[in-house]
Amino acid sequence: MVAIPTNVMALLNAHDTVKLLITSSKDGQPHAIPAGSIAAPTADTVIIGEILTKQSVKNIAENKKAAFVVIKGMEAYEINVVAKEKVTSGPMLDGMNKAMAAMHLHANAVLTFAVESVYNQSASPAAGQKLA
Amino acid sequence: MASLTPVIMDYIKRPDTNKVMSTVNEDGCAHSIVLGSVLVPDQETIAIGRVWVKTTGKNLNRDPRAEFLFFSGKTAYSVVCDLVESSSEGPMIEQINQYLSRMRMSTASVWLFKVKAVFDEGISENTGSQII
Repeated sequence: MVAIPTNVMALLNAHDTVKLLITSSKDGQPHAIPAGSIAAPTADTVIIGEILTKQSVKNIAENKKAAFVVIKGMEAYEINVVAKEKVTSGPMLDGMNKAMAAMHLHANAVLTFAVESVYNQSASPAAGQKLA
Repeated sequence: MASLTPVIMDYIKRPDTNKVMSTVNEDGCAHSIVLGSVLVPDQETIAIGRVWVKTTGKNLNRDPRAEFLFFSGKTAYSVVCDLVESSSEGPMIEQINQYLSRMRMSTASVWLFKVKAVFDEGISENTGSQII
């Protein structure tokens, strides 16, 4: 199990950070989307609500490897992941929709991902350093 | 090739617009970097300085396809591009270094990308629509 460092997890679960999901089609075309629903419920899992994620979901069906990026000012981290499961009911989806209601958004499902590695991507000489 | 509209060109140039570039690693996993400054020398071209772009450079050497995501608030545009040239001279180097000097960084070369398509990735019913 690869664990997200505590400071990166705090950024993933904060509301004042920028969070992205980056996927790739089977033929290698990258695709990134910003998403406020991204969170890390445990140190080895990252989740995102299925909200306006048509191309990303299509890419994940073709290629389970993806990455999340979290940014706060000059600080940025990339979390490489593998798609795990699509949760269509239960407390995880209910919790997601409770949080999304404030933005008048609704998730049809929660996509879960297993963490494979974490890299520092800050605008500094540490860029590219593997953290986990 | 495709042409950016004046509205999108202006949006890209705004300092408060978040700028991210994605490529794909050899193993199929997407890789993103946060960009401080992006130049739009003409309607068909996007230019960035080469600063701390080791993995991105490796990826672009293998596959010139990249995606730029420009976003702020509920607005987001995905600009699909191909790397066409690496340049180490001209006014663009000076322009990018003027920006980078504020962060005590500099570059000796810029990458030039040609725009192939633009997609709306904002939070709306148009998400995922190709607009250019």
